[in-house]
Amino acid sequence: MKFTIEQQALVDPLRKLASTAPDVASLNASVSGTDAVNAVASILIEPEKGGVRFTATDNTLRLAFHIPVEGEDLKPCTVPASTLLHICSRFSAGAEICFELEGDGKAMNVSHGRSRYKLVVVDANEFPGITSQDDEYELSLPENVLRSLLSSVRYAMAQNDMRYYLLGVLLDVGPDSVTAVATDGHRMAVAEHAVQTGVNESVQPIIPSKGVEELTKILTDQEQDLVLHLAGNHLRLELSGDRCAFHTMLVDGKYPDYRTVVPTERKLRAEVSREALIKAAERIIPVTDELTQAVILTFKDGENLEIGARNNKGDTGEEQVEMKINRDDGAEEEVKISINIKYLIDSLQALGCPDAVLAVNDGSKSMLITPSEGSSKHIIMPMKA
Amino acid sequence: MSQLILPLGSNPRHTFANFCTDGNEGILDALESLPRQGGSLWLHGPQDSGKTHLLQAVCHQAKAREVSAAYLPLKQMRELGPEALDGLEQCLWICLDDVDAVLEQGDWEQRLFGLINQAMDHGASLLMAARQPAESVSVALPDLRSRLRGAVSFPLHPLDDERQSEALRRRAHSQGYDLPEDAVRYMQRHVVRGLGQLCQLLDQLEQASLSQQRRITVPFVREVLAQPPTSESRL
Repeated sequence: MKFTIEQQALVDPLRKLASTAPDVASLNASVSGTDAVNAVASILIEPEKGGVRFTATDNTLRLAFHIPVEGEDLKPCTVPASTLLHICSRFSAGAEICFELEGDGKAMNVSHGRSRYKLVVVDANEFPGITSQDDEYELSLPENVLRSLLSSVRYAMAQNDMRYYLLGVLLDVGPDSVTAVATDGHRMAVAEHAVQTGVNESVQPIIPSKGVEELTKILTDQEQDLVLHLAGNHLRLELSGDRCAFHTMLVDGKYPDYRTVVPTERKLRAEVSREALIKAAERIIPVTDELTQAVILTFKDGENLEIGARNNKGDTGEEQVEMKINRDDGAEEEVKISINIKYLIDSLQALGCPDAVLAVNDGSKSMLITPSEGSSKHIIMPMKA
Repeated sequence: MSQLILPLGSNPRHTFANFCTDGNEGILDALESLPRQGGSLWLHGPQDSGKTHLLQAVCHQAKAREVSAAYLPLKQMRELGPEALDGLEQCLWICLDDVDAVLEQGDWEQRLFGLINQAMDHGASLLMAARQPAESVSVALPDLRSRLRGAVSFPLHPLDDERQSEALRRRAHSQGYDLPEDAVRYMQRHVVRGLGQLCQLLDQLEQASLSQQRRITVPFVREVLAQPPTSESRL
């Protein structure tokens, strides 16, 4: 078997594949060195129409790219993912990299110019598969919509929570809308998009965090419809143009009812420049308490938004950002709220529009952050002394 | 400074899936066959034997099956007066907890007797729970006494240590996480007053774990136990 690939056409998919395949070092040491382990840390190369298919998996996630090549006598084999990426990413752009499987099928020769590598091949039959049941639901979404939904909310996913259903993004799919939700119990992000999805009854898959991260890397701003196949606890989709296939196990669990958490009314709404607030918030970080990263936001009619902080050494800081206050009630009492500054920055960064609206009731209720244009909602719970 | 947590709600804690039947075999069958017999069941057992859990699980399951059901903690409702039972006869499952708390209490017995009769006419299932068997509770109204004694009687026993730990793990599982074995043992060694208090501690640990974004481990349980109890933070 022999084929050649241009360096850039190979390295971009290879990076995504290598981040899907687990690092051998992270796998259980007692079983390392076995074919099964080496296979998981490998990329499966299979011939398919018009080229080859490169696949990586970590047993819960499977990612495959179609790479058009012309070759002869193609057959399935595996190559170590991180080694291949390390070598190929260091060839210069435009380099034609040659792959040639040895006659006995036990090694793959990878070469370009004066570089020659012989990589040990693991039996392709050892490469793990993910078995999926028959399709239960199919739904369609424009690729750019799914990308934008996931990237608006993913910052709020729980990182290390024992509640496994929080370790991902919920897609609440109804017949005419899709809502993406992520929360770690302290803050929550909700993004909704009106679209005909093709489902009759709503479905609520939870995409695990690694799947979300990989998806946001492969999805582009193309407007074509993607078909998402949902079967039991599996989700798979194929990007148009035969570019890439993605398959993930879903988080098994029931997501909490996020709707009850989204505040419907907040007495005081302050419009601020998103960029100015992000800059002020980032400047003040070193004088916030290391552990809580708390700042106090003060909303007062006719004045600027004030951000105050004090760290455990006693350093203090104050920032002011212009704001325009709207109130439902005639009251003019000031509102103070303590929040984690990192949470504020994360929400603001996810908005992606010039202005943000911060809505508050008092220091004990959640703060709602919305974009001046767009429909995403970002909720942060305050801190209490 | 402590981080408040979002009021995300929780899955029901009192379900049949969470109920440890070991030592109380037969109770689920008795509950399942009750509607067919159109009768009433008297659950009795000491504190922490699972009476409240079963009553709430019945209501939860009935509601999931879109059958009308009501759970009434009579000890807490005693002050509201017997009118609190009005309208209940419409329900197909009526679950009365701590029935002994309203016996020999003015008009309560009369109203309770009326409710039982209405429920029987209506084909509803009646579940009652008390510390003592129906034969041992004192009832002023002779008609009510015979109604209560006519109910199918089912004794419940508190769980031993091993089954308590199983019950705690199931409770954790229903909330979407696994409770480590050593944390359960630590909790059992440091909480003396039975399953109810262990469950309260577990709820407190869950809140603290969300607030501090830490997992429930032995050192974490030790820290939480060392703190004075705080009131639950809500939106």
